[in-house]
Amino acid sequence: MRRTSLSMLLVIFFSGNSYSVLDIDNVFKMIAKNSVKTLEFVETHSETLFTEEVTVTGRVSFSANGSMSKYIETPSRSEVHIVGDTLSLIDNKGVRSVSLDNYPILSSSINAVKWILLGEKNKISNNYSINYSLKGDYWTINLKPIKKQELLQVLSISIQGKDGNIDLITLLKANGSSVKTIFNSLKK
Amino acid sequence: MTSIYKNILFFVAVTISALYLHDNLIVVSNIEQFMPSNIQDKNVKILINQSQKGSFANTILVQISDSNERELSKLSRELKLNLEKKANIFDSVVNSLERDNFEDDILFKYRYLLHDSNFDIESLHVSFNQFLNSFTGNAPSEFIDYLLSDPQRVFIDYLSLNQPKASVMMKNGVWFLEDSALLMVKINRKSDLSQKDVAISIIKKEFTSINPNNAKLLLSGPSVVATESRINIKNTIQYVSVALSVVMFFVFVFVYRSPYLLILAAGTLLTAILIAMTLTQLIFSQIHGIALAFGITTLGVCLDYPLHIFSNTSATISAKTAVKKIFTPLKIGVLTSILAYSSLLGTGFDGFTQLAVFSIIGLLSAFIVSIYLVPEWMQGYKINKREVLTGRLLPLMPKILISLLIVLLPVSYLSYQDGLFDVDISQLNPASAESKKVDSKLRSALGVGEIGHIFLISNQNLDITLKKSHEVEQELTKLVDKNIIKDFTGVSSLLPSKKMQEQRLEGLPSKQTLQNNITLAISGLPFKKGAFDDFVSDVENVKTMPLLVQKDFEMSFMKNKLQSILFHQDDNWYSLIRVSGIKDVSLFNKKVDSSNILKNTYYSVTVEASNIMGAYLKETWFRLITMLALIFIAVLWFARTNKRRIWIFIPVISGVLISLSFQVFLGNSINIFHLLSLLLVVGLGFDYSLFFNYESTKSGVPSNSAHAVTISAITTIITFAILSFSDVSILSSIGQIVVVGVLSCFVISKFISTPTLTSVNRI
Repeated sequence: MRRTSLSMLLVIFFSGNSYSVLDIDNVFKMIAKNSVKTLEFVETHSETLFTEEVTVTGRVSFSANGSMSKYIETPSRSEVHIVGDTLSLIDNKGVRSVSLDNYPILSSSINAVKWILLGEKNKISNNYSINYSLKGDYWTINLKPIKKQELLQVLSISIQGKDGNIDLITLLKANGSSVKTIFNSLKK
Repeated sequence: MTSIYKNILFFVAVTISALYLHDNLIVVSNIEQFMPSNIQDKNVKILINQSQKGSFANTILVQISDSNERELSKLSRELKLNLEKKANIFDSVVNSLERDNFEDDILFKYRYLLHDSNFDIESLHVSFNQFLNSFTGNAPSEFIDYLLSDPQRVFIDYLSLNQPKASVMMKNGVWFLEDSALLMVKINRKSDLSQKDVAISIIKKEFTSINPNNAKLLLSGPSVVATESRINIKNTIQYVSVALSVVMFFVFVFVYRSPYLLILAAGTLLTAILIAMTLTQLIFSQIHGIALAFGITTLGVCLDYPLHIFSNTSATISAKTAVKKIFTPLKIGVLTSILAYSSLLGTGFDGFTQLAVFSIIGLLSAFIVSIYLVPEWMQGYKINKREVLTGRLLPLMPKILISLLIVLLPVSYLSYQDGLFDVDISQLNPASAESKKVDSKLRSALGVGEIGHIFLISNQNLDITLKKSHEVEQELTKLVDKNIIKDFTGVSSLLPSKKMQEQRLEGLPSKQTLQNNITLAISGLPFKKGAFDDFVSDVENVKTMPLLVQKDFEMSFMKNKLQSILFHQDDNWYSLIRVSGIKDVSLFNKKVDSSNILKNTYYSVTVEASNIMGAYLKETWFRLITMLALIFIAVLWFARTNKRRIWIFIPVISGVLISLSFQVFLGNSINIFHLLSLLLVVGLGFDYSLFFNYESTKSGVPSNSAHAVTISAITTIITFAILSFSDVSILSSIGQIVVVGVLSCFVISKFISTPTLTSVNRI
């Protein structure tokens, strides 16, 4: 009898685990399938030591190769393009570019979103510990940097969505500030 | 003097020389010894010196290739990190212009004196808006922190104004040129030649340790080129020496049937080199590498002296008797060679004067050893040599016709050539053409070390130098605005004059004004009150600091940059302004001529150097021709009593002309090393011609002169033919000119200098 209970427990344990892996894979697959699009966004930077809360609005485009372009409309017009390892900021003063490879922490948070959109789960699991939860069609993926150096700056990145759509990304910084980005479909 | 005394004297001289050189020999390779010491314009000398030894002399350009971009950028980053740990060897290692520790640099606190800044409300508002864009545009947090102290980006603007204008691509955060990652490494400024070699080997070693795959490392830059050239020269000289030894061994064993004579010949040559080195070191306190290498090569003629003695010695004729027999032509041969090298004396080039002294001492030493010691060492030694017969004697008429042909033909060929002389100063650089090409490509891509068009300002007072530089730069700014030039790099933007710093200091707002302006400028923007307190206090602090001086750069990463354009030498301050991107050189020259301040400070290093080299070539030509004319007059004087001596001169002049024509025929311009090599041709040519002229007057009989000259010609031609295939342009120049010249002299001497076929000896 005890032997049967133990066997049952093992079956439930292993079947539960394999069921979970299958789910997260499905979520990644759905996101990757639906990654090429343009969305509206509202980004809220929480209060920092030197700024009040800042709300940024605009549009963001994701392309199949992982490139991202942000067209910021408020508080002032500017553009941010992330192509390969280069982040370029374009405003009325011209173009300024930085290489993400020279800024590993910035690169890490940008890459997290990029890898999710590209469905590259292995790259994410190599750099973050992954937790996720499911509620009907809704899902939340919580990423925590594995590297200590990154953890000193970024505590976690939370990505919430439904089916293959990302609705909200919350970046929690070690200094207590956060950046919340809500994505909406383009208004027709 | 008895034989024993002669030998003791020889032994003492050789031992003292060897001991002296062991303790005192200093071989230098500073190229300025081959720069004229008597240039009237001191600034030109400074510029040429800078072009050869400026701060770029310590720069190594590193190229990593043959892997994917990700791997190459990783290697570039790792190599940079590893080399930066060796701060005692490397001053700086740069693989991109991105930096995130600006505020750590000593110059950061001086930024409001270094660069213009505007503190009015509108300008501050624009800066704060830009700051906000960076903040909302995901700029790195390090950069956002930096902007709190320098929201106007004054220091960044200052740095970008003074960075090399690189035309390289940025890939994965590092420099790339085509498919290779690039780094720029500065070796410690005070490094000597051997320390530079160590630095180069460390770069190679560090790269090997981080390169698990097969990525390739290619180094370039003056110190790398110098090291490679030294290795190339050493290797070439080594294989030529081996080849010469093998050839000499076979010749001596085959012709003289005696390895002992080979030892005597080699001993004579080595003694000449040893004595020449000792006396040159004593006179000049050092020997230049080029003078040494070239001098040893030119002393090849010294081998002929013992050869003549060996060839004139036989089972019946002793060496002493042979010396007496050949003393006159041998003596004239030595004198003509000495006369040839003396044409290099007093030209104003210390290196060439050294070369002349070295060669003259070597020739005299070899002559003395040959006539006084070789016969002693050959006492009782019987030579059973293979005979060489006198060639066919020519009648007078064909001789005259051939002589006219071999002199006039090359003269007319040469006279129709344009741009006969190569006055490019880079010919002094022994690097291979391929190395120079790679070096030039990387320099151009990184915007470093370009020294074509320069404005040079000098004064004993630093501030006057800076003030004048500023005036020149103001004029050049007009040329930039008119799109005549693309850019210029000067000291004013890097180290402003006191006056400029004081003006900027006066323009700084009071603390209260700045705080008020900031409050108004951030209105409508989400910045907190006090966000820019560091910025305010930095502006306040600069008012209490002493003005920035040149010494403050010692601790800055801009130190090398400043040293490359502002330096102190011989109690004078020199400021260099480099111009780049000249769209139309003639228009640029016109504009320079129309402005007094530009005209008085402008130098084209290439033109100046070419003028000097051209003047030197002309002077050396003049000396060479004068020397040949003097010898011709001397020959005419000798010919008073013996008319056949008149023919001695023809092979020499013809050998020189044919050799030059051959170079031109190959498409080469005549450079200074061709000219120097001609001195060896003249020396050997006279030697051959003299001995053929002293030939027996009967055809088909054994000839001792033909014997010695033939052996000399064979060994010389084989050795220099090997040298002519060297990768080192200087050595191949020497090889080509000597092979053709000596071959011509030998063949012509054999037919022209030998006695004329007369009705008497025809019978």
